Amino acid sequence: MNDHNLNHRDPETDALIEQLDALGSQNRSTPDTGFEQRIMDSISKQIAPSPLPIANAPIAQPNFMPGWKFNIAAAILLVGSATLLIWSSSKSATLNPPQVPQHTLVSLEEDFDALYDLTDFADSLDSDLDELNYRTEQMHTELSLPSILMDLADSSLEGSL
Amino acid sequence: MPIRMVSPLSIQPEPVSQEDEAIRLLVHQAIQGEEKAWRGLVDTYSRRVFAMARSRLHDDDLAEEITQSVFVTVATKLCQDSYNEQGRFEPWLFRITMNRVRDEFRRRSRHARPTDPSHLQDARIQNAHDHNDHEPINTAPLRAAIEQLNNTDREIIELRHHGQLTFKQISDILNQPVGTLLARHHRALKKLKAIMTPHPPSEPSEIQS
Repeated sequence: MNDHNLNHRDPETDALIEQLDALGSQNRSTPDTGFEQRIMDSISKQIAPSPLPIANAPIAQPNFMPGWKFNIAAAILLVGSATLLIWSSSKSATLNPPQVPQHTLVSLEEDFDALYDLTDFADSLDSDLDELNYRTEQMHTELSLPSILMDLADSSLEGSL
Repeated sequence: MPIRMVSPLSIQPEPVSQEDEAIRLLVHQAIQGEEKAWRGLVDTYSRRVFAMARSRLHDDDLAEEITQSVFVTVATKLCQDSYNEQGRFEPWLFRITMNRVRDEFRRRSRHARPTDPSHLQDARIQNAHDHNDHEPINTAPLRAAIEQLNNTDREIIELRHHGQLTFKQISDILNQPVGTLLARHHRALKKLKAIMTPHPPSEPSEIQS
């Protein structure tokens, strides 16, 4: 015991401490010589290395090309495919006949509609003008009637006198 | 020369002994899966664990079974990397041992038949004779005396003398101050001595009174 000096040494108990130490030693020496091996066997399953050390396994790299060369090749491939796509789309546009843009027809139709609307407006304006002429004549007639009456009245008055 | 003021409340880090450092290294290597380190741990501690279990259970086979169980637990925890008792391997190991022994002791107590105290005394005498058969020294009276201690005193005696732990390590296991443990250990020794000391024959007058 390496810290027996921590305990208060008591001559009365020193002999007992020696007996306790001897008893402990006896208990520890009880197992046979194969004891430790049996303990090792019992924990062999726990301490055995994992058959599949996934965490420590190096990631397999393709050795035909280093990493940076692979990146450059991928970039070139990407740019080339994008260029090819653009070129093919422009070529297909030239091969197919261009269709008349829809917006031209639409604008022409709108112009005709506007002309028709204008003609309708002119027709309605003509009718309005006719009506105005008619009303003007009518008013003129009405205005000219009292003068006739006045002429009649004058003539009758002169006759009575 | 400047005077260095040291606060009485300043906490000094505990010095790490070479033995502690060696154990720490051994545990670290065991965590790495080195079989040699595991063998070192088993060689160092398995018989101490066995002695603790045997002292309480009085059964060699059961004590070995418990020792295996303790080491399986230790190996599982270390290999799963769930061991976080930094530098306190021994207290941790013996705490596991004590818990196993307590569980087994309770299990056996539940299944034990009630015993007449006179039969218990006969059993102790028989036990002493059994131990005399194959033990070089007669430790039977001491074993019988230990049986009569309460659990707390008995655990201190077993951890100290069978597990070979220091009072500091026992303090870590039982979460008690070292001073308290020293006092309890001394008291347990006194009790053992009192139990083992043959009582002087009583005076006839005392018996009549």
